[in-house]
Amino acid sequence: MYIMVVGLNYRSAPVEIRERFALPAGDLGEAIESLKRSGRISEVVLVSTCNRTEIYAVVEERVVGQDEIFTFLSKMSGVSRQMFLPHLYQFGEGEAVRHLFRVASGLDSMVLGETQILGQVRQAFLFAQGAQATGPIFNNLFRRAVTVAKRAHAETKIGENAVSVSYAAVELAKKIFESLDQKTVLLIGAGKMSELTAKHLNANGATRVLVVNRTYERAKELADKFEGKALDLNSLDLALKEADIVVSSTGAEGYVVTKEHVQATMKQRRHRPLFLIDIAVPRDLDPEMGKLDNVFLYDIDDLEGVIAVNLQERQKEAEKVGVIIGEELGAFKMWLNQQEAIPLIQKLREKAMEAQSSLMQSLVNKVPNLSEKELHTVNKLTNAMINQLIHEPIKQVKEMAGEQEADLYLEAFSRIFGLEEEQQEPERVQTEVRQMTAVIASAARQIEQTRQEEAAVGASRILLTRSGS
Amino acid sequence: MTRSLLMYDFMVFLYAAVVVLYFLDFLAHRRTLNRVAFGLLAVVWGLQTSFFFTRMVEVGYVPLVTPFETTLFFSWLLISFSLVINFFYKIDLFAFFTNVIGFTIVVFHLFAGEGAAKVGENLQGDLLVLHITLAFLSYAAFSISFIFSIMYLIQSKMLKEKRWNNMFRRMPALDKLDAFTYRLIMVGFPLLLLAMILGVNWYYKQYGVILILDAKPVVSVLVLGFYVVWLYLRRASDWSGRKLAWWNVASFGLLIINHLFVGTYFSGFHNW
Repeated sequence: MYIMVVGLNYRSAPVEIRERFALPAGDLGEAIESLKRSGRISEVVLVSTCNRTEIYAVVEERVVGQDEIFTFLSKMSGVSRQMFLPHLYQFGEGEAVRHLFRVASGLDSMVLGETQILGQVRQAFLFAQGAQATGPIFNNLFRRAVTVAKRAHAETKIGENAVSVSYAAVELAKKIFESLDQKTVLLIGAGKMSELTAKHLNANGATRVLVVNRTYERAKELADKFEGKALDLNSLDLALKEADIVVSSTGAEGYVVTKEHVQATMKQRRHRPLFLIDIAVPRDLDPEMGKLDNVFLYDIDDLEGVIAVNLQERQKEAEKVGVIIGEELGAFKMWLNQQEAIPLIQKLREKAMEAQSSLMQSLVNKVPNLSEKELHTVNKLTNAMINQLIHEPIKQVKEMAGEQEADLYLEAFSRIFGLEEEQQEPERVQTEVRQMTAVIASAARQIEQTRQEEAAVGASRILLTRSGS
Repeated sequence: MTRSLLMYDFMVFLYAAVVVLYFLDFLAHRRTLNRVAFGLLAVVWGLQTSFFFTRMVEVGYVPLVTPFETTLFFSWLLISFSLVINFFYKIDLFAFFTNVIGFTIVVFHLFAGEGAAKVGENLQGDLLVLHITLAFLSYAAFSISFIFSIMYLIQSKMLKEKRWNNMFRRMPALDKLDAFTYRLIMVGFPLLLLAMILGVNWYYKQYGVILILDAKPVVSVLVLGFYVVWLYLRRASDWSGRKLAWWNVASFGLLIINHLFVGTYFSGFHNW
């Protein structure tokens, strides 16, 4: 049994290769079906997003599984092996599991620590499960992967700091205003970028939106999206007086708002803090105004600066996520080993019970005149003896399965007790069964005989006592 | 005596550990450190509380008279405040700042401390205890508002200079800091006013005259004046948050001067 992953992502393959392997949701069922068809892959999950295509599989042997997956990839994409092989990566066993954990928690994503991928991984797993393409191993593994990702986001700050311009703006706004509720956003210019920023501010509670634009129609159009108010350029002063947050992104050449402008309004605003974001190039807002008290002005470079620092911060957090992944990887390996120990224990039990019952048989054969009570006692005692004997090894093997050298221990265990897989041909089983039945039948006959003998003896005794009285 | 002092030493030791833990958290930002520090702080609070009562039994009066006792009471108040605020509002870094101050006070008295001085017979009475308690409660409220103002100044400086460091990340929003400053001054102001009225009352009951022209009450009135101006400026929105924060820092400075020096060197009767 071998867990493996074969795939390509934004780092290993350029988009012209990746797009050939991107699988539309509708084709997923067919893809999984064709991977399962050969019977050489026992469990499979297929993750396909715009940034990656990965096939997770449980196979009997690495080479076999790899061949199967390569054939499938070549068929689905119409790209020859030679073409795509240089862009593939492949991991096996622990490394495959680690890779899955990293992917699920966003460490392998383009935007470090993003959470979208977790949903995609979960979706891929649920789909495969629905198609009955998963088994005990992947059911456990993917559930664990989700746990890892959730832990990563709960216990570290991997996803906390903004890494896009519009989120960075919201993050900064929240350093000035505890809550954006009841705050007024003024958009100067009705560009795409200011719309996106306004959307995030809006989602964070700033529901009052004013839009000032050179053309009123465009302003109205944007304002309607936020149920806001559109104003023309002449009303800029009025709007500045009301606003708490200003986002400017016009295509104007010179400054749209000057320092004097703001200085004048600050008095009317009764010194409420004013937070301004200038995402226009060339800039719309006179940088001098940033020197005014209670005026906080940031341009696009400042926001990029925030993002750069935040990414560093996420990088640091990624190390902590690595520790979590290590822990969960250990836990999974332990579980996996324990899965391997379970059949061994089962076999040992069967073997012991077999030994006991054959011992009972030969006892009945050799000492035919044992009473049922005596037989019962012997049976009980031998059972207890066997159980006592195998109790400790079973306990130990369970523990050893969770240890580092588990593979070695399990192998040793199975050799010591002679539990290796032996190909049991059907005929051999049948002869065994036949022999067994014969033994049981003779035993039954003997028991019957003994009983009759005892009955005869008993009867003569009764007769004797009666005649004696 | 020995029992309560042993408890005191242990408390100081624990308190030092708390400050170190908060400092490490300040540097490296570890949630576990913060939690452990918070737990230990609660223990320190418990020790101080029991120290207070043990001492009350030992000396036989409410121990709020000697400088040693009052500073201890003051640090107890600071810890109480920081525990409560930390518990309900979770303001990052606040506990660190507060306890640096609280610990400084405790240690200051450990080294400069003359221990328990003899208490004059005339310094007794319920009114006096109430006067001292209220005064220190107002001091605690003002101290914490001072901490919030300092945090405000640091945060606004970092926002202006665009320094996106770790400290910036952990500081709460400007308007929140301002709101807390305001609330605490709103609490501190009536408490100090009440304490002063009670003080005058007590003095009148004790000596039969109303004392006004002494350095301590005069400067105290001045301190009250500073806070009135602050409240007025804040309500009238004539000043920016940064200027208000500076004003509050100045007011607190005057309060400290009043507490530490005016009584000791300039007052005729109020030597503490």
